[in-house]
Amino acid sequence: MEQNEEIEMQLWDYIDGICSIDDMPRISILIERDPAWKAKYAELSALHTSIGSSLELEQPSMRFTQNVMDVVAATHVAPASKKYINKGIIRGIAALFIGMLTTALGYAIAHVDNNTTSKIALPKLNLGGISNIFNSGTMLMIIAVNIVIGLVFLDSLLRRKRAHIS
Amino acid sequence: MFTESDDTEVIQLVLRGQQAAYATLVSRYQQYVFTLAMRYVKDRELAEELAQDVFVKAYRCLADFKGNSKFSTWLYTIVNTTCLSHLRKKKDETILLEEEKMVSISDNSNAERPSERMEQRTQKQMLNSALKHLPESEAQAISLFYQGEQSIEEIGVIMGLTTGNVKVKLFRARQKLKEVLESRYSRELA
Repeated sequence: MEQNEEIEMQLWDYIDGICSIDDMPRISILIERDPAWKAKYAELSALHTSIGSSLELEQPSMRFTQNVMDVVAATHVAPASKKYINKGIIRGIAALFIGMLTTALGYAIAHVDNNTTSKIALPKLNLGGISNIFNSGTMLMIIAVNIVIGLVFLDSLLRRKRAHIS
Repeated sequence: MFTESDDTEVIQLVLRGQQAAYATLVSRYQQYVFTLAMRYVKDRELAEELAQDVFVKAYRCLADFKGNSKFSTWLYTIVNTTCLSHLRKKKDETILLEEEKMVSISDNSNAERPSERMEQRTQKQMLNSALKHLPESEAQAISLFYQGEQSIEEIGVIMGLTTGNVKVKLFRARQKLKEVLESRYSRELA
């Protein structure tokens, strides 16, 4: 059964014209000399032709093109994504993150206490009174709300800009 | 099928502002797009809605078509993503029959139509009916290969599959179609 499937697979590759250059003459010879291969090839070729000639395309309604064109009339071709995706901004964001990580790492390495008895000694980050303010729940809430407002504003700004371009 | 240069010329016209030229592309590919949509949804009205959506999306993104592939390959990729996202959203019921059920299409015992009418059906009708009952991805692969004239590699791009997976899908679909035809002929000979 498996061998039969393997033969069929190879024959389909041959019929579809996608078998390798090495396999092509080998399969041709097998079809020519081996009756089992010959019979299978005839069977699959007939099926291939039959599928190709029998399948029918579905026909949409008569007004299909007109319906599409009615919708299209109210829309514009958007500019190619290459034009409005500014690589500079993407690079800037990447640079910001890399900078932040490098600074944090540099700070940590510079303040490592080698004389401590514990195995892992993390430096204490001294931010003065700022840490108390930032630990306040209210403050975090205000920051979160501001970020959301900022994003909404940025979104509307970009939308207007995009509409203006198109 | 239409040549790549034919399509490219029309696309350039549309991009230069001749919106009406887009109707040429719609007329050219409407049957293919509609047929592919029908492989995903069984309802004609819904398939037409999806096909329309495909053409509108393609129009909006036309500037993004870089000509690295055939226009048809690019368009059928939009068909695939549009239909799949529709199915994901609506969780629409698609016709998915198991292998045994496939054979039952040609078996008159539990078929949807009376046996007398089944026997009168031509091979053409049998194949088209059987195709509608294949799992959607297999039917899609068969349609793209035989009707959409896409190569195995192009089908892979459209469906987001490897060449090997496309070959397996085609193989399974053809086997099932063969079973349907064989069982029909064996009944006729009996």
